[in-house]
Amino acid sequence: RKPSPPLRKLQANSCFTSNHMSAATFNEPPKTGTTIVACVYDGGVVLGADTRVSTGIYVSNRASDKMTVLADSTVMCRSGSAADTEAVAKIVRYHVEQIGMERDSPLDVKTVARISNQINYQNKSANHGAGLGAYMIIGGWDSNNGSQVFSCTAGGNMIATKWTTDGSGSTYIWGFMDNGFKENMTREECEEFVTAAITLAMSTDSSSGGCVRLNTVNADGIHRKLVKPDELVPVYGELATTTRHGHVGSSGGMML
Amino acid sequence: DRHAGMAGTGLAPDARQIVSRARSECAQYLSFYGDRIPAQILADRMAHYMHLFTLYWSVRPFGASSLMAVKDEHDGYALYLLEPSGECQRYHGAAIGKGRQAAKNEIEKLDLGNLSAAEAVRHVARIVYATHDEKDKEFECELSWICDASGGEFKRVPKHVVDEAVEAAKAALESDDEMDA
Repeated sequence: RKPSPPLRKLQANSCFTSNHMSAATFNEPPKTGTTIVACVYDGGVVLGADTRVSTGIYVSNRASDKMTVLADSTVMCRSGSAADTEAVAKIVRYHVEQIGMERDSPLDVKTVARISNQINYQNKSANHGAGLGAYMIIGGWDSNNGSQVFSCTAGGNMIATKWTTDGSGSTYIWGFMDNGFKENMTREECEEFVTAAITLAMSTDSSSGGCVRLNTVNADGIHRKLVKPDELVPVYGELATTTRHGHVGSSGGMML
Repeated sequence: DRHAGMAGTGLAPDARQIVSRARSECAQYLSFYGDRIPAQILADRMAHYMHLFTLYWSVRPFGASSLMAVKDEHDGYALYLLEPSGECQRYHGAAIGKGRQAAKNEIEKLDLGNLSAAEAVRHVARIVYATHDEKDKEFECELSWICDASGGEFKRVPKHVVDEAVEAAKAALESDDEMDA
């Protein structure tokens, strides 16, 4: 049974009716209104993120990469201020390289997370006292402690958990993830779980959308994957992507 | 930090300064990286610090050498010798101070690869007593170790082990004297 093409309701947004789309909207700094997720499984970690970057109401990038590699087996998901998180990621990579040169062995995930956390904490007076708006999730696998996920939020808070989520879209999926998380998942189960969570968040949060990027980190390293909108499995009854004008897979219910 | 310790010779205040710096390095590393400082990094940092004082005319080099023992999670137990020149080398066995030449000779006779910590304690005590110069001056032998028996932490050797080792050392000394006579 093929779902019929949905009638897309115009958003009751004043910008369509009045001259609200002024220059001011486009001068807003890009925010990663985002959904980022990380979850451990038996033997590694799956980190996921959506790909939408919005400048006010304009989607400036619909296929961005919100995950940065920090070390050979540690990846950071970024949310909050795009500029702040990119700067923090750069500084963390610098430190990782420096201390990596002095050491024989690769850095533990918790050490990399700690460096990010310290940068957040030590720069609380930035932005006229507002601090760095860097909300990050750091996940990875190392031989000492296995798969780990750390939530490093602005202000300098670092918590180790089995799974976590952040960004504007995270509010919609805390319950979903709490309910759906299982210990010792397989890699496939975990990737499906993370994808489903982000799909759900994207369908509800207007500043999350686009594709789902997955980074799976295990003993073999970092494995990247891009899940396009037409490959996303609808969760909890939201509309599936449909054919439109005869083109299979072009967005109907799921806009990029 | 708990996993590292030092012993110094020479000018005592200088030796204390070195220890103080080492403590700071450990604390700072722990604070920033959230992990105990690895042996080679601590050794490197201390070597840089001591070398610093040989570069500028306004300061004098340290008047103290030290032995540093560190437990590293990857390298196991490491012994480093820090000298005022800024040299920092890792050794299987080392000696510093007045009787170091004689002590080094004694150490070379040992099969270091196969000694247990307890056996090493006895040998160290014996060597200290054997190489102590002024035979009439009383001295106290202080021993510290870092090994599996101490839980990987730098601690004083337990009193009964020290007493036993010292007794054996004194006995060895007397038997040597008897042989000389």
